[in-house]
Amino acid sequence: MKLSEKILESLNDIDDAYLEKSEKEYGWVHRYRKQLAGVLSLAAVLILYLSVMPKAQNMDAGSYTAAPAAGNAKQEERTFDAMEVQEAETWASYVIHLKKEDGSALSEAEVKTVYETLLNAGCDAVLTENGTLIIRGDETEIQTQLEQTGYSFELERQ
Amino acid sequence: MVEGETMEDREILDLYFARNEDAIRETDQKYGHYCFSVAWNILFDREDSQECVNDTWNRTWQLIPPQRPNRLQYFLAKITRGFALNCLRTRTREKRGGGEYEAALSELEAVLASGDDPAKTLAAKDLAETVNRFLKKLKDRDRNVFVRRYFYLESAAKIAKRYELSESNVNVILNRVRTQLKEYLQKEGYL
Repeated sequence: MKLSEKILESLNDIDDAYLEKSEKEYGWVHRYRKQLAGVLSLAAVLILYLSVMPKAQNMDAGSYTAAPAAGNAKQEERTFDAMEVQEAETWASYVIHLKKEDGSALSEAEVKTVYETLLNAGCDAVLTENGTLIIRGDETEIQTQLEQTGYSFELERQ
Repeated sequence: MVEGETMEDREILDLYFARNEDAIRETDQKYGHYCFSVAWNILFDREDSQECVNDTWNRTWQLIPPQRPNRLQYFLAKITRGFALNCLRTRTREKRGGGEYEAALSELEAVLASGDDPAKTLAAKDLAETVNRFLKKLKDRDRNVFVRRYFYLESAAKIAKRYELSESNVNVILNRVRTQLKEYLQKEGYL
């Protein structure tokens, strides 16, 4: 037997810790997911703040010349803001509850396969240590991706 | 326990120790897909891969007890991998191919071409210890890439996706680690 074959065989005695480490690391999104979630939350708050502030300032300026019109504008602003918030609300973190057609739960390996499928599809998904599958994104897009797995699912908003 | 839920490894091991055949069913439910993928990467054949997984369950039943592995998942992976490599050896060279084993072997052969003299090689166990010592010296990322390639026999493309690296970056890492391995084996007297 050649040395190269022996080396491939000898890897059967590899330290379990190396196998475990090779499983756990899933790129920078996985490694820095907590920090990333924090940064994204801050960014979302900042964007929301910046989008609201200029409108409020404009309304104040308008109120000096035409108070009733400004009042209408304020109402419109409120409506518009509410729509924005509603849109933003569909983009969130969800815990995915998966089931097979017969109603039984998926095995750990099957959940992992779904997780890898979501990652491959470019989804911002995380598989926690206790096997909980969490995804972040637009609810409709998430549903579209999950429908392709063939399992029935429920999304629990975080 | 609710049907469909997977047991903790400790509970599965307890079933083996109680000689309860549910142990195999639970093992299959929890690790069947994982072991199948280990075999599949080597064999690229659904029937043979499934046979390796079934052989793994039988072997595990024989080994536990007395053994009580710390990490059942990797204990099973090593058994499956062993069966898959044996299965591959029983095939004719013409029937090989397609799988990542041949490609991985060629990569190592290209670097270790002068290591075919049996007189220079030590016992398999010594070699395994040497390889483990070598892996310990590697940086985490390099070691992970090496393990995914040469233990799991995953393609560079798959490894790249797993670690969010480019495929060429994976190939560069593998090339560098193979060269380091050659130097290490030379130092240890294998080459």
